[in-house]
Amino acid sequence: MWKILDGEELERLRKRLFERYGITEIPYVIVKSGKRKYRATTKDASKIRIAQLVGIYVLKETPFGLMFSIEGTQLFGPLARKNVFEISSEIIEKWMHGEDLEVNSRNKLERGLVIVRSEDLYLGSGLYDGQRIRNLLPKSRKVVG
Amino acid sequence: MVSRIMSSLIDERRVPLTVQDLKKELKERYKVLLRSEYEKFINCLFQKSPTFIRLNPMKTSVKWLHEKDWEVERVPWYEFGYRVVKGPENIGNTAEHRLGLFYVQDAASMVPPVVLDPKPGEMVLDLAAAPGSKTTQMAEMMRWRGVIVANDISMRRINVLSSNVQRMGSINVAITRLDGRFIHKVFGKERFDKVLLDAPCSSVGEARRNWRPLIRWSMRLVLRLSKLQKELATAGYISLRPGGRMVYSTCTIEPEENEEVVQHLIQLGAEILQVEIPGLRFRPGLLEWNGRKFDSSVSKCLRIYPHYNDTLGFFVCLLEKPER
Repeated sequence: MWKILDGEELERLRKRLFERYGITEIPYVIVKSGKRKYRATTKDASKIRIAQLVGIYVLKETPFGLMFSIEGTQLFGPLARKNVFEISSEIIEKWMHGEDLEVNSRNKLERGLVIVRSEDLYLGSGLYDGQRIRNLLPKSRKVVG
Repeated sequence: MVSRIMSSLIDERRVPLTVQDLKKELKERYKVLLRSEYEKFINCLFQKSPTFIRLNPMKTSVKWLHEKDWEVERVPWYEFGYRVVKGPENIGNTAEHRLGLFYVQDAASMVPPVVLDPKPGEMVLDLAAAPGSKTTQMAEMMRWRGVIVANDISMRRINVLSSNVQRMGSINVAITRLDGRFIHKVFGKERFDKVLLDAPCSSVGEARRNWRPLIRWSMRLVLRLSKLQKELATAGYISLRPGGRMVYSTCTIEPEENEEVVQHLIQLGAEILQVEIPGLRFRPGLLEWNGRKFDSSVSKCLRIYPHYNDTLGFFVCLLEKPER
């Protein structure tokens, strides 16, 4: 089931998003679904208490910190001020096939979870290990073949 | 295993099927129903339907389509709908599809939400929502504000619905798993501004992309579905607030599943409204079938035959619950 985050829980989440991604605001109602997942929705949808699910899955607790889903990067990516990795449009296909990304040593990324984007297209999350970004797209969202 | 493979071949129209394979009862019935249009209708069912997509304005714009090596034509009745004239063979296995930049949806299936016209901030009920084509279309028409209660009874279908809602980023959707026939007993009467009932049906209008409806068709099935549709329509109508609007639609041409259900709603007090959709060719609803006469307002319904617009077949009716 799911529950709406109260003011304190939301503030804790906001602080963590600020520390990792430089995000200062959460312009959605956030609900916790199960032990590890967060979903974003509207105020009206969050009032449907009988619903099995509301809104969309945007964030997950992982051993590496808070990881955005593809849609999470699309909703929150434009608000992020750091740990966003930009790729050229030619690389999108490789990323969507599940390949890792090579990272230039002059980048400003911190080790850990990062948002991947190409211009205004947000492409999900990866894990930066200091040398490359490991592809964390779920299997069902990768292009096959 | 063999039956599973056979089943998927039928779904994908990869086993040969001809007019001769159709049930005699179906052919005779459709000759009476369609009269001079019978040949065109049947021939069209055996031609594969074109591919249509609906762009997701939350994630992309038409600019992206023009940058691709695809050839597209806009669907006249929906601003984000496009017919893919030239594009990738497996359109579902592209980066853009995986990212939710578009949804593969027949142009006729875009009509019911266009007719219902949900607005930002409204409370909308989608009574039989899976797989979510119309749910996600309505979410974008509402600019992702307000709420759509997207209901379905089957867990398997809800899984498909929720993955489509996720992929399309429809944050204003709440998914419920309830028996739609009794939904008003859970939400209370007259709660919703708008209701969409795209009812489970015999789906003959979908034969252009899947043989199964033609193979499983029987009069018994049509009558069983008609009963279920009336029960669902009743629940949808009870859930609608006075002054609210409801769309009843199916992807079949069976009068028992269409006009007869609309007649049932008229008996509950519904007023049928005239619909104008620029660029869409359709036939008015029937006023008589099998000796049964329908109210004259039933002619305001839309019978969208596949050969009219080179789409799947649909039936669409817009109605209003009068203010007390």
